[in-house]
Parts: sequence; structure tokens; C-alpha cells
Amino acid sequence: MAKINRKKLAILILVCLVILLVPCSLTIDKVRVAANLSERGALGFNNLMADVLWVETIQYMGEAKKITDEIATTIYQKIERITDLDPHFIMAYRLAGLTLSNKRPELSIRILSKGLENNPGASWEIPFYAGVISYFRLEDYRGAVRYLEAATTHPECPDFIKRFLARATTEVGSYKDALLLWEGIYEETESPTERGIAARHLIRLCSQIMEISTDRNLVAKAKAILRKISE
Amino acid sequence: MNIWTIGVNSFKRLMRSKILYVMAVFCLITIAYASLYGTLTAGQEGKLMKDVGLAGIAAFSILVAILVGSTVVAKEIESKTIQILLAKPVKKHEFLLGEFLAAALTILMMTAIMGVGFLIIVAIKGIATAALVNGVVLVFFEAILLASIAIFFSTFFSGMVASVFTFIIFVFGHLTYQLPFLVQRAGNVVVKFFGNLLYFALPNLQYFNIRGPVAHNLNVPGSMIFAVIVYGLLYSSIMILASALVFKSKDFA
Repeated sequence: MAKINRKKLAILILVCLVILLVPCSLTIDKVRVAANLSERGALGFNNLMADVLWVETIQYMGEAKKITDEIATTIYQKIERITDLDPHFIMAYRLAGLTLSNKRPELSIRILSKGLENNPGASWEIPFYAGVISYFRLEDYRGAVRYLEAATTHPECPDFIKRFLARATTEVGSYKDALLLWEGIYEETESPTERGIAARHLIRLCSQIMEISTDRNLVAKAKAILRKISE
Repeated sequence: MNIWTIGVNSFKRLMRSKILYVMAVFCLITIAYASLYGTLTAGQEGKLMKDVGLAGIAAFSILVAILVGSTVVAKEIESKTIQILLAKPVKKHEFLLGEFLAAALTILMMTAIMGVGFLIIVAIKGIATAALVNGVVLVFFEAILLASIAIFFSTFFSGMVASVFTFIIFVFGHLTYQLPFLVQRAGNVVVKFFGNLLYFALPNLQYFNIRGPVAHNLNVPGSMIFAVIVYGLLYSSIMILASALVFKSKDFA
């Protein structure tokens, strides 16, 4: 009798443990998604596979004397595979972004956007490169503003990117935002050269606002800034 | 007491096996060798070393777990030494727990040797971080889970067959993360049900893989590491309990 009961007890414990496994599994799933840790397959050796492909890609790039359309496409495909296996491989996004920017800027933007999506706030270089390529190569000023804004949220972002963002914001006609950005640079900087650059841009921007803007508040603000600069 | 005695004796027997040391040395050579590839990685030498190190420890720990787990009980059955043991006042479940303890101690020893060696190498290179220890700890718990599965299979199959089945579970265990996508897309209720059932029934070994984030020095929440360890221990307990139930009905006379 006692023997049967022990067996029943063991089965009961087994069932309880199996039931406990479900909430435990669901908890881990939730934390992994929240922490952006959902890893890709490759039997758990995805990073190692990414490294092998990375070394191979570096050699391929080194051997290519000139980046042609065909080579650019191959590099893009290789980097896509690498970043699928290791979505946090910042250097891969950066290198692909720079290498493809001349021949295939649209592919360059695609890979840099992927890097930004997989690593939000991890690097200022990725959104900065995307901003530069959007601005100069694709002449997509709105896209450039979006990327440069992402770059400026990073604590290590160099100051010149803020100036670049202010310039791109003026290009897309967001005078109010551009005024705020240039004013911020003018007031925060300790460098006289940078202050001079900001003042020059502010004078031009304020004159532009006073000429074409119908927003009374904005015009009043532009006038106030001009007065402040001339003092 | 019986469990401890059996465990320690089996552990001593397992540690006499030279193949384990060869594997540990080979793993450390692989990690050190990775540093030679530094010049080919365009400034990613540190990342390469960490990735190779953690992957090497994982591969060899899993290999040890499958080897040890599938042979620790099977060998005793095949060599009939189990009959001598069970003739003494030792219960079947005590024998099984003792053998599991021996496998766990062996895996711990091997993972520790490789882990410490790896940490020394990366410390010499100046790229060691505390997070790397978490990566190694979860490798150990993944190996423990696989050893418990190997022991479960070895209660009704030979050592060779048990190791093959454990390897298959290892492969599927790293693919279970795709099942929720299948369930989401499936229109059929039966497919959905079995998809969900498989998702929870198969071990999700991808949980133990934090090697990528730790190599990149990303923040892995402590609560997640704790939950994964609990998951590993729970799953191992289920496998050992199931093994004990199968083992109990076996006749070794």
C-alpha cells in the first residue's frame, strides 16, 4: 500500500513540476523580450558563426580593389547574414554603412536602419552615418533629421552633430525646431568659434523667419534672439 | 548518505577518464588560438575571443554532459555492476540520484576548469568582464539539463542510443523558440495545440544562451538569469523524477 502511495506521490510531484515549468517559461519569455535578448538559432552558436562570416567578409572587402554594384550587393548580403546571427554587432552595421554608401546608398540606409532598430541608443555612429547618407547621397532631408535626432540622444554624441541636425532641420523648413536647436548650441557652447558659427546661422535663420513666417510668436522670438546676439 | 557515497565514487571514476582532460585542454587551446585571428577581424579581436571562448566552453560542456549523462547509468547496467550495488541496501532511486550527482559534479569540474582558463586568458588580454561569468554559469545549467535528459534516455536505451537522442533533443531545444511563430500562423486548432504543447514540453535551450549579450557587454537582467536557473533545475528535476519512475519498474536480476 505504502509502495503504491509513494509511486502516486512521485507522479503527483512530477505533474506539479511540469505545471510550474509553464509560468517559469512564460516569465523568461517576457523578460527576454523586454531586455531585447531574443537570440537567433544556429544551435546557440550564432555569435561564433557571425564571427566566422565577419572574418570572411573582411577578407572579401580587402581583396576587392573597387566597390562595384555586384560587390556592394554581395557585401550587403553577407552583412545581412552576420547581423541576423548577431544583431548586436555594431561594427558590422558601421562598416557596411560606410562601404555601401557610395555605390548603393539605399542598401547602406537599410542596413544602418536595421542596426538602429536592433540597438536603440547603443551607438551614435549608426544613426549619424544614416543621417549623413540620407542628407548628402539621397537628399532625403526629413530622413536625415530623423536619424540625426536619434544620434543626438546618445550621451557621447559629438557637438558637431547637433549643428548638422540644426542645419538639416532648417532645410526641411522646421524653422521653430531649427531656431531652438541653434539657440541651444549658441547658449551651451564654451567654444568661441562654435558660438560664432551658431550666431551666424541664427542671424540668417531669424531673418528668414521674419521674412516668410506668419507665426507671430515665432517672429517675436526671432526678433528677441537677434537682439540678444547683437548685444 | 547512499546518494552522496554513490555520487562521489562515480565522480572519482568519471574523473579518471583522460578524454575529459583532453577536451578541456583542447578548448583552452582553441580560445588562445582565437587571439591569433585578431588581425583579420578589423578591430574586433576582443569580441572574437569572447565569442570563441564562450562557444568553446558551451560546446565542450554539452559534449561532456551528453557523454557522461548517457554512460553514467548505462555503463553500470551494461557491466552488471548495478546488480552488486542493488544487492546492498541501496534503493533504485538513490542509485539514480547518486549517478546524476556524479554527472553534475563532473560537468561542474569541467566547466570550472574551462571557465577559469577562459577568464584568465581574457583577463590577460584586458577584456574580462563580470558578465562573462554569467554566460559560463548558464552554460553549466544547460549542460546539467542535458545530462538529466541523457540519464532519462539511458534508463531504457543503451548509452549510444541515449547520446544520439539527447543530441536530437539538444538540436530541437535550440529551435523551440520558433514554435510560437508556427502557432501564431497556424489556422488549425490541433496544430496550435500541439505547437503549444511542444513549446512547453521540449526544453527551451535558447534561454541559456546569453553568450551574445555578455560578449557585447549588454545588460542581462539578474532576474532573468535567476529564472533561467530555476527553469533548468525544474526541468532537470522532472527528468530525474521521470527516470526514477522508469528505473523503479526495471528488473536487473
